[in-house]
Amino acid sequence: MIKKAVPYILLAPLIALLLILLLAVANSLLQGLGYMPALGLNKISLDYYREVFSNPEFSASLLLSLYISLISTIFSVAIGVLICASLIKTKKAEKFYRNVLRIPILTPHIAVALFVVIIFSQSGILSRICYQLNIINEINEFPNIIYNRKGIGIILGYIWKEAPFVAYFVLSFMESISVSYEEAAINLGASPIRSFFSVTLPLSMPAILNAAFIIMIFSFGAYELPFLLGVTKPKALPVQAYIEYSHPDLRHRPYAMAENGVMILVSLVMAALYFYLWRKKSDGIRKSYDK
Amino acid sequence: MTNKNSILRLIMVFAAACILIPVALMTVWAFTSRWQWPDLIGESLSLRGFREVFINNVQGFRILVSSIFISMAAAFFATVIGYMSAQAFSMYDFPLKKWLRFGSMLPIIIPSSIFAMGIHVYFIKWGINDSITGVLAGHVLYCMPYTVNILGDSREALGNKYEQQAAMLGCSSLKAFFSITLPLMLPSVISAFSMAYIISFSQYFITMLLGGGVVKTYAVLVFPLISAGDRTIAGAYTLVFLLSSIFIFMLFEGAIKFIVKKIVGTET
Amino acid sequence: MKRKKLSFVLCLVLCVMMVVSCSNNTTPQQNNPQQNNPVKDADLSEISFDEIAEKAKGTKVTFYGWGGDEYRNNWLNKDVAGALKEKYDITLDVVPMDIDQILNKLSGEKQAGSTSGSIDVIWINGENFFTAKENSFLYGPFLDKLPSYEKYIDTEDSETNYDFGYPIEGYEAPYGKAQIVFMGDSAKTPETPASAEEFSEYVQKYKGKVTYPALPDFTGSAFVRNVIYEICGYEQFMNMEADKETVKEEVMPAMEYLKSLNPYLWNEGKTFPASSTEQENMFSDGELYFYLSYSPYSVATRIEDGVYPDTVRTYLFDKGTIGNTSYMGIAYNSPNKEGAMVVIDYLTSAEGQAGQFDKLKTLPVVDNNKLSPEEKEIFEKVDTGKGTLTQAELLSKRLPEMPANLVPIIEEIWLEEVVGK
Repeated sequence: MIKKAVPYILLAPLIALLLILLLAVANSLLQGLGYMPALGLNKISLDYYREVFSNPEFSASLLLSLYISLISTIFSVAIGVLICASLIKTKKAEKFYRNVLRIPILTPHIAVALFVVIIFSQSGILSRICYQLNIINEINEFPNIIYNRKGIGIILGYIWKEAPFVAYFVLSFMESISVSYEEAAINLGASPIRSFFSVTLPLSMPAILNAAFIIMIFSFGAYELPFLLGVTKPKALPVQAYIEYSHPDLRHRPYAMAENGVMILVSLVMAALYFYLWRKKSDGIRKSYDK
Repeated sequence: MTNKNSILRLIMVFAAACILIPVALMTVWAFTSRWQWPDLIGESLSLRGFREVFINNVQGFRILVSSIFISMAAAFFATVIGYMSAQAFSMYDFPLKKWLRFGSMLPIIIPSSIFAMGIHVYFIKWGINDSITGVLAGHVLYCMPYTVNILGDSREALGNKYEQQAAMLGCSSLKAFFSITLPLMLPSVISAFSMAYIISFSQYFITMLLGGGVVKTYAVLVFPLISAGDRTIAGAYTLVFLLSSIFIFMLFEGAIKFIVKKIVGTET
Repeated sequence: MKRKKLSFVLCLVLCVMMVVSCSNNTTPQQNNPQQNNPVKDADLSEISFDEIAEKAKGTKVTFYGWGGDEYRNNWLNKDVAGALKEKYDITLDVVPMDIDQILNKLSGEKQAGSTSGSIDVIWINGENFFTAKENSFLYGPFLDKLPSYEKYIDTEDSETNYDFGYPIEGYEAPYGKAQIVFMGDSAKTPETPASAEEFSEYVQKYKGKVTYPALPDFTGSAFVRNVIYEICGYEQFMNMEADKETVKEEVMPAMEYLKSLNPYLWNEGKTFPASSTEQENMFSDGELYFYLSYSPYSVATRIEDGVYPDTVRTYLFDKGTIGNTSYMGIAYNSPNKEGAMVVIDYLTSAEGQAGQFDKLKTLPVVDNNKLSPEEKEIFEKVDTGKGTLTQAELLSKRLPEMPANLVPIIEEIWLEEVVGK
């Protein structure tokens, strides 16, 4: 009996923490549905969700967040995989590069925002270089890269931080594949490029997709970068949701929670997509190779 | 062959430059007095930024030190919980295993801001709002998926063959844990610990909302300065932030290397 | 083998020590004797201030307010905290936090039924005071219990009794006076537009270099209200109904004016600096030529520190700029109301106000007629510094704030009618 309980005992703290998380989620969903007994709101209603969806500012925020997370993930993964592949093949100064790659992982997002501002803002380094090279004559001739409605500054910030993360995440996996399967393919006569794209890359997919999943969901729901580098309108969804949450009139709370609810739903959908679609696909690839 | 190698090397150099240049720039900015557009060099060197960070802001250094301790505590708990969970997942089979495994990844799916907004009222009701307990709970929750993952992979890889051997030779399971399993897991434990430390040290939203201004961490202190501050001061604060993270990280790296050397040493 | 065990145990001990020291790092609330006695509130109106100060000895008081001004933060943390410790043995804990976060915290605590929170003194005014008082987030009345009230404050002054036209009723004490001033670097922009038309020309001349902080930032909001006063006049707002349609009709000419500025503004009016500090940063960087501030003498401190070049100076519109007072309130669930009152009393006194005027150049709230000759001298000795206007000139062009409940309506209208149009 005791033996059977051992894993559960070991997992007790984990379960406790998860229960707190689930409570937070349940509370958000319930309040979004208008259930706030403290204020006398005892009926479940979709009114707040309806209000949220009929607000054009909300849809603009939602689209912006989706856009930012999609674009930054695609680029981060592409660049990250590229760096990873190059790193494996580079023998010279390998240690140096590995250590440099760690820096973005150690850097908090807050600092990344400062970097983006220092370099890309209209009073940043790039702009000053352009002025010195006579490309521009006035400070506002320099294009607005950050504080931009498409969130380009935010995307750049995410790429700076996430591409090395992807590279690191995939590194050990890709290394072992490269050593065994890729070498084998080359020995059988395939060109190095061909073997990378037909062997190493597909086999590394599970790790790559894992990394992509993590950064996609993270960049969708994170608060810091969009707040520090975003524009007046539209605001990214997490920023907008917190502004609504901070409204001093408590009767506004269900509206804020409805926005949070949408974020939860989108994140869950992304997670579901990952678990069912991609896992199946990459499992299939691996199975066909194992044959 | 050499052509391809030089392309790859170029890619690495470019990547390294993209990473190092912003850090260098920020460092330079932290040491200037004023740097008006469109000058390429700052007006003059000045310690104004650092004067602000260490002298004018009387709380600044104290907050940095207490943040380091808070994050160490969070990392400690996250690692212990991660280890226990990793042990459960890799050594046992039980109903709900798949669900709990998925559950351990849940904090990655639910954004920290949503968690904080959702749990805030309950923390107030339970009296742990504005307290380190609440903030630590939030930090540990969000470090946990990473520690479970890192420790889970190595625990599974290690397996229990050594422990079984030890049991056959008459060693108690407690002794086996301390003399065999833990030392072998130590590199991974420290890796999980440092990952958790960094995540906790960089946390902003959870500390801001659930700490209510009472729990002061360096991230919460620096955030408003970056969003709107004087770039020299922001640069100085951020540099200190970055350096302390790197310093702690190197400390742990050194610890891993030292321990690994010792293990390898005793085995020969 | 032994060494490994030992080092592991050492590590464990270290970790436990860290955890313990961690829990000692939160400034302990338990030391406050007032925490578990909510009933005591009723007694405060009976006892004298000296007894209140006695009770507050050895306690900690938290001061929550906007933290975007490093000079003010440092003054509070060093000068004020030092004086409070010496005079009253009170430890001041300054917590920088935006007012909407503060109000949000209080509303969450009220919802959860908390009777003892962590906020004592709140730096507050305007529409935020209105919200706080309406929602019972504040403790009071306490103003007439403070010795400084009779001693130094003009008790008849409208700004002592009304905050943005809304009755204070003793729920907040004056902290500092403010007035909007515009500023520019005379080396780059010699013009000082004194009217809406001149400002419009100014904006067109320096295309892309002028803007104002996005509403609902406090300073950005003040700019828009100032423009409204400039174009539409101000008397009609003093008694206006807080109805969106009524307000919109009255302010439309000003909105049209602001819209007309958009094509010449920074980023063509499609986006605005998120906060006043952000715009200040761009101003000192030279990215923008225009800045405005509620602190008429902040220019002097910035020039002294080398943040602004010394050719920067301030100016006003001829028709006047908005002036207001900011205040200090006490949270309804403050764990140390006695301590809060002592702190507020100090900051409202001649000593506190003189220190604020000297270090931050904030316009004092004390009534000049009530000051002794020695006290008057302290104020007169303070040099307001470079680039500033005289107090007389500021006061001669000072306009009152409009009622607090109109402010959020105007902010909403601006967001709808002007941004990106």
